[in-house]
Amino acid sequence: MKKIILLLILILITFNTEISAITAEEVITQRDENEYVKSARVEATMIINNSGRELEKKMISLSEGDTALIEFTNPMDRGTKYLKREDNLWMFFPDAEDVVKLSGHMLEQGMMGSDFSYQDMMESEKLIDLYNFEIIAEEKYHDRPCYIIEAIKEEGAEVSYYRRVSWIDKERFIGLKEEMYAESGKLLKEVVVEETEKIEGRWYPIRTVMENMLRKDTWTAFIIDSIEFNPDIPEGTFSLESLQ
Amino acid sequence: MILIFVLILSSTTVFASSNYQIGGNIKTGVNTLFFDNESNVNLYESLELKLDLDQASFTLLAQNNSNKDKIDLWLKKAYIKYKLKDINLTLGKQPVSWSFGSLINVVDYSLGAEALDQETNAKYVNALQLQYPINWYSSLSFVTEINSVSKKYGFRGRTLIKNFDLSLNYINQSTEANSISRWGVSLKGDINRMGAYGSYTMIDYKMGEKTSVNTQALMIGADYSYLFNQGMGNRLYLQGEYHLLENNEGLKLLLQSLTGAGVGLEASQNLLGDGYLDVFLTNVNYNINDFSSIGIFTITALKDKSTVVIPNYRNQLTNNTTLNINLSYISGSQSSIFAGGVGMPELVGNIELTYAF
Repeated sequence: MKKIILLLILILITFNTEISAITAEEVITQRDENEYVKSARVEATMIINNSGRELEKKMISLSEGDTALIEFTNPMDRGTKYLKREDNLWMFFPDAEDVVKLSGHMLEQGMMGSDFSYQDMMESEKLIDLYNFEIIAEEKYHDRPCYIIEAIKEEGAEVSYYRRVSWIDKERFIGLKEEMYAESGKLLKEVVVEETEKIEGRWYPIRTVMENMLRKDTWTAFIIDSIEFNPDIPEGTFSLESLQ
Repeated sequence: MILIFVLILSSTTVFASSNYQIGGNIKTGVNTLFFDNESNVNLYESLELKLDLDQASFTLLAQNNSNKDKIDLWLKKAYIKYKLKDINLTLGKQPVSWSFGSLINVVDYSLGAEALDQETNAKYVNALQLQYPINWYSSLSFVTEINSVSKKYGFRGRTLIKNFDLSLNYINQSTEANSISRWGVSLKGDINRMGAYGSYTMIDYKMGEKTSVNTQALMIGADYSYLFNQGMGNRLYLQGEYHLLENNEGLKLLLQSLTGAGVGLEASQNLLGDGYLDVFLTNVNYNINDFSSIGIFTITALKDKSTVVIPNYRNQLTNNTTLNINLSYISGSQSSIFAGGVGMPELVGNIELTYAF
């Protein structure tokens, strides 16, 4: 009997050792693989809240790698489109039917008045390529066991935030919360995933709320109304021609 | 015009479209002109209806104001789209604009002063437009207007070189007596964190058989955003643009086209003299919060310092309702380029509410 108990303890120790031996890079890779979208068609709603006052914007986006095409469909912005290819951002003005290349500095700003910058919205590069990671703790977040992972930007990488701290679900490999910091250590933004859903075999954030910590009483919710992974995207979709 | 409507209405593919969007907006506002001893108040309202199909687009505008006793109807857009092998064809009343982000665009097909994202009536023309896309960022376009008074056509080539948007344009407009042709090149991209753009235009006027005048126009511009609070706070947007215009009879025609006939060009002819005229434009905009912004637009003739100043305020009151307030003020002497017009108001104020649906 003692031998069996000893064997069980050994198995448990071995099992636990294997779990805690997972590296931060492996967690991030699994999360990247889970959340990284090769291509997708998304219908979404963005709610911008400032001191209780709200604006709602609706959009349809198509993305493939680091390329994205977004069209707004709410009445105030209907027909406004953005095309992002690498670091180039193009905008279509529906009334005048003009296609204008926006200056690069516009990528750093809040998209359509939201707390999500154009880079936040269209960032599709795998984070593993941009940051160095370390597991700094393990704890439960909203009853889900999580790894807390710190990411410091790789030297030379062009990213919006110097340091990120993420709460990643241990079983579903989905980020549930993230804090973004400046190099000075100041907390800039906080993202909380309020709702997740298993879609086509993977857990995916459905309702994400971003709070800009440097602005008072303001947050933006990004809600996915529908998502289709790896849709058929016709050739030439991500072109200036298709913006018009 | 009638022919275009027949074509549109008889196009079965238009109405066979499965995707469509219907919407529009209602605007109401008050426009006040302030003179020395009096003011002129004008109330107005408009209804714009839009129908967009896969292969057609229609926009009808109905306008009324307190100075008129009838409603004006204006068909802004009524065109069909068709793909002929690799060529995109649009036929009908449509906006033709070659804007690239400048405040004044002498390279545009429709020559006119316009701030980015604002619309001008001159853009909407009865035209046939052909576009041949070469790759995702390059294309060749041809436009010809369907107009009984004058003949107008233009060619445009557009591409991306080292992340700079480059366009080459040619526009020719002729009547029985005169013809104007313009060659232009425009460039827009980034230099470090600053947006940079420029254009060069050669304009050739032929009046009758013997008189021919050439004018050149050079423009350089830049824009920059400053984000407060370590790049996470409110945005201050700055844009500046410098225009250098060769000064001769051609310039007079060009300025009339750019600024409208009401501006005091006649009074200022003696001021222009020989050489060049240069104009500086600025556009400053500050986002007060997620819903509202305040800005100021100026255009200054550097020769006599006469300046048009247009402060503006915008507030998105609800999801569908926006309030816009702007003022226009012209400073300068009676003989100056911008303030020298006869019967010019000292101040123009406009308050407008827009409801989009």
